[in-house]
Amino acid sequence: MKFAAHAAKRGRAAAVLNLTSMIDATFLLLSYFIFTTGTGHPESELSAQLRMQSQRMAGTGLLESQVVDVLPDGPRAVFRLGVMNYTNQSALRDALKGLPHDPGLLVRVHAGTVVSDVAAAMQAAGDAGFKQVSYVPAE
Amino acid sequence: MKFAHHRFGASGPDLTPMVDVVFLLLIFFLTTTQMAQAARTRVELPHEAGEKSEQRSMSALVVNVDETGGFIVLEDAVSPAELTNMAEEAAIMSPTAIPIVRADLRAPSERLNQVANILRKAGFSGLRLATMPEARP
Repeated sequence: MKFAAHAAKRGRAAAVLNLTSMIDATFLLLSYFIFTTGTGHPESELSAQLRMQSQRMAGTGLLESQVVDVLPDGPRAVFRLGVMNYTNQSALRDALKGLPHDPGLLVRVHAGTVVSDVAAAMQAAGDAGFKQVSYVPAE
Repeated sequence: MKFAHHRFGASGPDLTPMVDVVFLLLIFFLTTTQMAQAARTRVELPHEAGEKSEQRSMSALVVNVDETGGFIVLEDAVSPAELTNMAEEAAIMSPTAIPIVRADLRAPSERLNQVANILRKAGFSGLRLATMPEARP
């Protein structure tokens, strides 16, 4: 069958796919991904409710053992849970696992510590299974 | 009447410019969205895994706390009083939003406490402390 010849005889233009826009889009996508790959640093988050110390005292009925104090201890920080002091995050996490999770946990932050200590305490609470973590600035 | 000669294959509008523009707009919005995320104040965040959340929502207010404890919002250093005003405005505009605090891991916790107090007084119920799951090379 001679379709091409037949079409040419009738004066039809040959069907040509215009690739210009596709090439444009391809180069734009390529430049976009090259650009964003270098600049993207995925961050994560630790959520906490905000409370005052007096609100806690007024009473959600939490036991003192449900409060983690982030205290300065020389160059490092210590995490106090009840009467126990923990010097590292994993020990705190293991201790928190034994507590009831429904009442939530207060992280009370004292002066003299740094942000990484606070984050470590909040991370330990999350890893231990606490869904409700409250941030309490120590007064 | 004498119509123009109508050839097969030349009918209809040329869609090439429209496709170009559509893709350009798409790329523009994708890029600017990423740029808005990338244009963050450079602070070394605490190296913690964070929460396993499926989606990260944008926040009405992002407060950066640098190594010395200075407050930075939208690349500008702000005083506690200015931060209070910004927080109050953000709380009015987005009362259910939860602010993000991007604090340097070496920043003193007194400044983090100060931010927490400002946010709580402004009407926010919580905060999100930004972390870096993996240490930067």
